[in-house]
Amino acid sequence: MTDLRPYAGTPTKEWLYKAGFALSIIAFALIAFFLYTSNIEIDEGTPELQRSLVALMWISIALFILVATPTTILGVRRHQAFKERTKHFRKSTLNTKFKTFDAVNYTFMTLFMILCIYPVIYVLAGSFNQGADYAAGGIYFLPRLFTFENYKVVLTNSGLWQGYWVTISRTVVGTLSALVFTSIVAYAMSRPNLRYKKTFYWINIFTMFFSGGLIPFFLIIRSIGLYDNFLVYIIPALYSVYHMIIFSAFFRTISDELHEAALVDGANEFRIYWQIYMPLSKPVIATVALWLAIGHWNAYFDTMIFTNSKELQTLQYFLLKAIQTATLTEGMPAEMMLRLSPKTISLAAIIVSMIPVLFFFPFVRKNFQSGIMIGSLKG
Amino acid sequence: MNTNPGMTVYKIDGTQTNHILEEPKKKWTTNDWILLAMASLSIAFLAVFAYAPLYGLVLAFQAGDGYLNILTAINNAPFVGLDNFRDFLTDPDFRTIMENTLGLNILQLLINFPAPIIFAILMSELLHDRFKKTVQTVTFFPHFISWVIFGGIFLSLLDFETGIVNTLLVDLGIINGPVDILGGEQYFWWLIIITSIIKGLGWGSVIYVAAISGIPNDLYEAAKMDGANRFQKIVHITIPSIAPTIVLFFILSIAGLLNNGIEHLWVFQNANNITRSEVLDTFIYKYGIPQWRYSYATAIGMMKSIISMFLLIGSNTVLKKITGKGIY
Repeated sequence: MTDLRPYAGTPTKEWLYKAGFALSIIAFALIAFFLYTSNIEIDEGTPELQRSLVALMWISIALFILVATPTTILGVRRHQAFKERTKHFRKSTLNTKFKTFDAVNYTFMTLFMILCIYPVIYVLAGSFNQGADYAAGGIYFLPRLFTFENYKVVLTNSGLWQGYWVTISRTVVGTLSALVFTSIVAYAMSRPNLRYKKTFYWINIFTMFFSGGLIPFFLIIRSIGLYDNFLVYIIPALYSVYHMIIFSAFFRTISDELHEAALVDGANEFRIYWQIYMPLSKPVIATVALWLAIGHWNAYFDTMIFTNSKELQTLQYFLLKAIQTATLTEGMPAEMMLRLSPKTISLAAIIVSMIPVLFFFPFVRKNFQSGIMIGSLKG
Repeated sequence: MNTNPGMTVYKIDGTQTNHILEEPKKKWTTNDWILLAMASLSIAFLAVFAYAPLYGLVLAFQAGDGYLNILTAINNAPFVGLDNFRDFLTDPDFRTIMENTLGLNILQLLINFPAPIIFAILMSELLHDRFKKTVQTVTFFPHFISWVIFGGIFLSLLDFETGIVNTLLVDLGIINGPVDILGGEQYFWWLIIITSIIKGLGWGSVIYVAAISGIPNDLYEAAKMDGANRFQKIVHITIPSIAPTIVLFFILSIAGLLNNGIEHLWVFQNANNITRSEVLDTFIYKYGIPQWRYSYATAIGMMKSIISMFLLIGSNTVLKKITGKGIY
């Protein structure tokens, strides 16, 4: 039986290659960026700025050569190993003919990918363009009149950093606490020897069928003192029946013998949950954590409904305000307003708030597979 | 020791005890208490955040506008019966709101519900694994950014003066002058449909891709032997195999027929498209929270919840009769 994973056991160091690959892409992007900026018209461009951009370009070229050479050597070796390993089953994949249907299908997929990616490029180009010039339209891929000023305005705004801080803390605290709370309940619900199991089950399920709606919920939040309190982001999100069901479906697949052995050894149920079941449930934890974290990071309606003070504004809510009401240009001197426009500034704000997602996206991609497995387990 | 009920037990001297032995009650061990405590956490949570709001529905039958504490509201507000419900049904906006809510959702059910299924099938027909993975990664990306960012991007793409859609179409000569897509009420539904397809197609297809990858390969090989072409394979193998998943998600979307993603709509709603963008969710929010008309908004929310529950039960029953599968 041959290992079907093509890269398994390849002699080259996998992580080294991947890190080198990522670094060379970054260095290449930097080269392109500085090459572009040192050759074009820059708004408020002084000779020093131009000179430092040229210097940065040379530095990134040096960096690229330094990183790309060993990576290429590693890559060549890796590719040879890959070819060697897949020799025996390559024939079967090659004999499928490429037909008209495939051509249409591949074209459609490519177009849809462009549709997903292009808006980001457009925003990136606009955010580096001077505001007054942007208003003339026609900026598709590259900025016409280059400027850093939009970013300067965004990054010096204290509301943005406050929003970042609130969003990061609610994402971290909210995700961790909800994971623990939900999995505790899910463990109990997955045990066959739980007393009154039916009652617990129906009390939980009923809430999925019928809810009181927004206003009673809002009034409850007000009455228990969570209104305009940081905890309003954490406590109402502690538990979700849906996540509980997914967790306990996974717990049920863990062998019961482990549980019995631990009982014989004198561990109590909570210890079994914490020291045996949780370490064995990493895939489901990763998946639910991903969902929870995305939910926390992207939520803005709870800020709108449950908070009032500026200190509790999340990043998304700050951004919404910036897009809808041009809060970022408030109180700006008139001569600056001639060059800047709220439109390009909000584009810069969009990019700045997207950076963490762009950064984490390649890392969480791995969790998709496990997420799919758990999703199908439930269905 | 024999503890079975109804068993006659012989004593050591040969006499026989005639009474039926009762099954001894299982003793509560520490572990039972621990499990019970663990499960009770959910009761504590739901009591506050799910069942207490249900008690708050009393407010729908009262004139309790403007009270900040729910208990004082329920205790002090005068009882008005079904007045709040009647007010909503006779509201001049009632017709538009119901039209928008149902129209938008039915359109989404017709377009956004089958789209991920078709996308997943198309994806399973791709020949190169590398390409397939790239497609999946790239189409996942929009799901990970918030509606604010995504909406903000589309607001700039579709802008009346500077947006690429308008400038490009005018430059290419397809339209004579720029179209105000964001401010035009006739475009709003399509704006919502298209943005939710771009944002949700990749992610929505995950579950179907998983279901398709679970279909055994022998089925396809056997069909190939019998001379089935690709389309026949899709119709006769792929679709029947993922039918249970489709049914499950269909029931859930029917139940959500009165829900519109408020985070989605809120970004695109403005004063110009309000006649086509005002739905139940936004209406409840606007009356309930900034205007403090708690009783009125509670009544509307209650109607919505009740109808949703019946839709869920109804669609589940019907589909159970037809396909033999439901969600409970």
